[in-house]
Amino acid sequence: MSVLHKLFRSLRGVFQKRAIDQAMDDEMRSHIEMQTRDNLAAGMSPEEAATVACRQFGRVEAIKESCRDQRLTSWLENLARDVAFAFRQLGKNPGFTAVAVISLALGIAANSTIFSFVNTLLLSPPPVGEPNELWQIWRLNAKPASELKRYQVWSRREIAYLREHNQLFTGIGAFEFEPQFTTWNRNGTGESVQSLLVSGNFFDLCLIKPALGRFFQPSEDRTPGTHPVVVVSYGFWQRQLAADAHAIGQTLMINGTSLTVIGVAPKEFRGLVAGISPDLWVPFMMAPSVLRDADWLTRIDSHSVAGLGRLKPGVEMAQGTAELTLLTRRFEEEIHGPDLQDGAILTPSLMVPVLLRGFVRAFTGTLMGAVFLVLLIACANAANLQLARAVTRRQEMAVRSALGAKRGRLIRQLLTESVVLAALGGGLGLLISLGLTRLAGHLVPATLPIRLAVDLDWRVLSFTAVVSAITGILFGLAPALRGTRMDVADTLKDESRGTAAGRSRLAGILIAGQMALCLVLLLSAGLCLRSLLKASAFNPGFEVKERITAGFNLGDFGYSTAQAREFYTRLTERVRGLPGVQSAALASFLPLGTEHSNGIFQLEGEKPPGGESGVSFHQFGAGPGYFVTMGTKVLQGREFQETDREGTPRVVIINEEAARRYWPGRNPLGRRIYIGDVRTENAAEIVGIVQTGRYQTLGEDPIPVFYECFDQIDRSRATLVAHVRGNSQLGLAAIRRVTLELDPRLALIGATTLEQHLSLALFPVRTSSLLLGVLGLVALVLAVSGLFGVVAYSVSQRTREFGIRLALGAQRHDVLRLVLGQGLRLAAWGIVAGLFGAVGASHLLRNLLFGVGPLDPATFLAVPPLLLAVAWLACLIPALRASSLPPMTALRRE
Amino acid sequence: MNKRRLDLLQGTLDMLVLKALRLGPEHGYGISVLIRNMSNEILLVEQGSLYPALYRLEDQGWISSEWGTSDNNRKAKFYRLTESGRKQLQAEKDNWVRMSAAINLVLNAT
Repeated sequence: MSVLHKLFRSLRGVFQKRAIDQAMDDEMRSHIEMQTRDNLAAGMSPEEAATVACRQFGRVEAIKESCRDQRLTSWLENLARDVAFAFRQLGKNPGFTAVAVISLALGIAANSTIFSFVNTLLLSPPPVGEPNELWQIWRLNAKPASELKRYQVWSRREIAYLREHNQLFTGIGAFEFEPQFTTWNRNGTGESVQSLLVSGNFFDLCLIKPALGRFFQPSEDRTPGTHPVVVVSYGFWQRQLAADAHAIGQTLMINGTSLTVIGVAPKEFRGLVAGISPDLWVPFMMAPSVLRDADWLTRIDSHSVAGLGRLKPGVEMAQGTAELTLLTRRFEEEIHGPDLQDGAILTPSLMVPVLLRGFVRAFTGTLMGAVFLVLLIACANAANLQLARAVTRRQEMAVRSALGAKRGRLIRQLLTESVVLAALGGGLGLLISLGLTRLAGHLVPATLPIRLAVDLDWRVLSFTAVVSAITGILFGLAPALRGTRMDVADTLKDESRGTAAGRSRLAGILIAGQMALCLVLLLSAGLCLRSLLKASAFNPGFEVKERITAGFNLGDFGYSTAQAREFYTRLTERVRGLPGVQSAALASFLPLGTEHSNGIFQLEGEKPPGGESGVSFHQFGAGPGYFVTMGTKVLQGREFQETDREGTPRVVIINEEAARRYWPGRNPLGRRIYIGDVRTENAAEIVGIVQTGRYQTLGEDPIPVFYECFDQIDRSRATLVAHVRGNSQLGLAAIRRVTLELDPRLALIGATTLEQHLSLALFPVRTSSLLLGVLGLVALVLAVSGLFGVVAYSVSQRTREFGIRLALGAQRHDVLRLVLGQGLRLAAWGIVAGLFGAVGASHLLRNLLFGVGPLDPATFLAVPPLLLAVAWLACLIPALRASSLPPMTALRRE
Repeated sequence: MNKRRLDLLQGTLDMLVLKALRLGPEHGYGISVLIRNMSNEILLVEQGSLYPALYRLEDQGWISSEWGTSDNNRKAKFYRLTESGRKQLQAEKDNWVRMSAAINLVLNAT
């Protein structure tokens, strides 16, 4: 009976129990009938004949039951025997087993690790109650500038409108998409903590229970500033509040406002967005006090919150979407006049919100592809090892087959061995992957408000199990088929002749395939590495070395505009006086960070081109000495000076790109930009032009930018930059000291070097080159060890042939060339095939690349010869051994 | 009729079933009748052991089965000895001959 047939039958045994029962019934009934007939023939009366037949037969159900048992037991016994035998076989070849298990473990670990990320980011719902009924609500932009802008966040007032007017939801709530960096005044010293502003019903909608205390009540989010309460995260409670049960009822001084701790969130709840784990949750109504922003609740132009809702029972998602779309348009009409475009959309709650999914999917998709290639290489390795072993086991197979074992039975045995190997590899791989996911958290730069927690859950475990099982069958099937196909008599007669050719053809295809896949990975890694080198060496428009930076948020502490200005003036003076400080200046925020500001502006005396409503600029604020401190070249005009103050004429500095784009062929100096409505007091004169830099990402196209003078704008938040000779950590410590002398309540936000600051911009390319680099290396090790193994094996098989050649007068270098040629031919075929694959793969990488094309000649010219050189080395060792054999020894062998 | 019954030795039922099928395909009832007749009515195979044994032998691949019609035109499941079953029977038979010879030697020793 073939394996498949048997498998099918046992499966049928499980699924078609009824049909099999029926067959058993039929069989036994026919038995009893025949017995009855014979009884009649022996002279019994018809009734007696039937009764005796039944009695003679015994209890039908009991017999059926023991038949069923018999069948299951024999199947399980066979399986157990196969598994035990597989372990014994593998134990006999510890070297083979170790190499195969490690190969597979590497391949499986790579897959499980990447899948854990995919799982956490794209598949798992957040840890809330009834997650499938919790909808995220987004504002839908019908005509987005780019696909990324289709889904948008709401203003607080829009959400309030939706909440008041909807009929179909049991509740609508909201949370700020990004946390606020707030300062916790802890016994006189400031500490930076992340606070997330949420609606009062946020936790109720999440349907979760606090670990301690309680969550917000509806009354606590109705009137501004009246209920100073806060919920802390489990991690914050553990780390900062010493896991004290008496923490409930304590007050935390956040940004100078004291908030009472009413509850601790459950341990597994870190928020609804992957990567963002706030320390504190603060109700919206406390935002004006905590952020010192009186208009925060009513401002309509500030879109920053994501919606959250649960539908009433029986209401379809589409109905909810339709109602909210209608309400959105009605609200829009009341504020801005008729607008029939935008709307609302409901999406399932997942840890990566819909507006970020595209990017995450592309990134993880690339990685899934890469790790799959590594797994294929690992499979090819294991298959080759199995093949090599199959040849040495041919005699065993022949004997077993001569003793009556069916081919199907042998294939099943060999496959069991493969699956056992794969299971061992999977187990080890899972352990490796556990370590890797822990490590991955450290890849995230400190400047990013992200804390990544990747969990191994049942999805990852079952993924690993399935991958291992498929792997086992994938690499086991071909060698098993090959190893059991034989002519028994031939094999028994002479086991050293015959099938080497067939085996080596399959092995050759596997090796070439490995080389091809390896080249694809190495080329991808090479491209990313080149981008990283380019990006690191790239001039972002400012100097990175010897620069340090620190942020301040005085608004949090109730500074008035005048007090803030006074503080910043004294701060910059004190910092400039520190030893080693060359210069220091203020800015609103730095380029290439997380903060951006851009808009449409009017130019004095210019008509915007092509019917546009104005021209677009990115805005920054910069204080006197900013460009000197940052090392940005002033090309024309001047930099801001101490004399550009409030009350003096407003001035701006533009970058070269703005000058080129908006005043082509003319001198922009002395011209004006309206910052705000077209009114004389809003006009700011252009006094300087600086070099164009990079502002959002390193790979961006040039962006037109203007800098406002920091002293002329009302800014309670600021970033200080300083050019420091010597140890930058000492410089940062000195700035911290100066700050505390000025106001002991303050905490520096994101105090770091500019090199560190830039790690944000480098994050995507650095991560992808690191990951692909590691994967490429793993692939290289696997593929080269596979090549080495096959060539070494073939040398050991051909020892006698080499002996004859040498005895007949062949030179040693002839043998050397023969062996090298065999290995390198395989590698070369693989590399040629790999080049075609790489052209396709590198196009998929396009979005991750920076400064290099997907067909970067340098990478494509450097990597293939490198791989060939490594392949040459791998073949050289067995080739040298073959050529150095004394002919007589070689001949005597076998 | 001689009703003296003998319990089958452990493990010998399989061999007897294989032997019965050596004569040609047969259904369950036929096998039990065959064994009884060949043993001069001494060996009575209980159906409670026969059918599990048939399923076990089929799973080992020593016999195969198919539905057919009995001599009096009834539907019945027929079992047939396979090639490996033939080998198995030979092996068990050799074993049995040596074993019983040895046992006889011991019992008849004076």
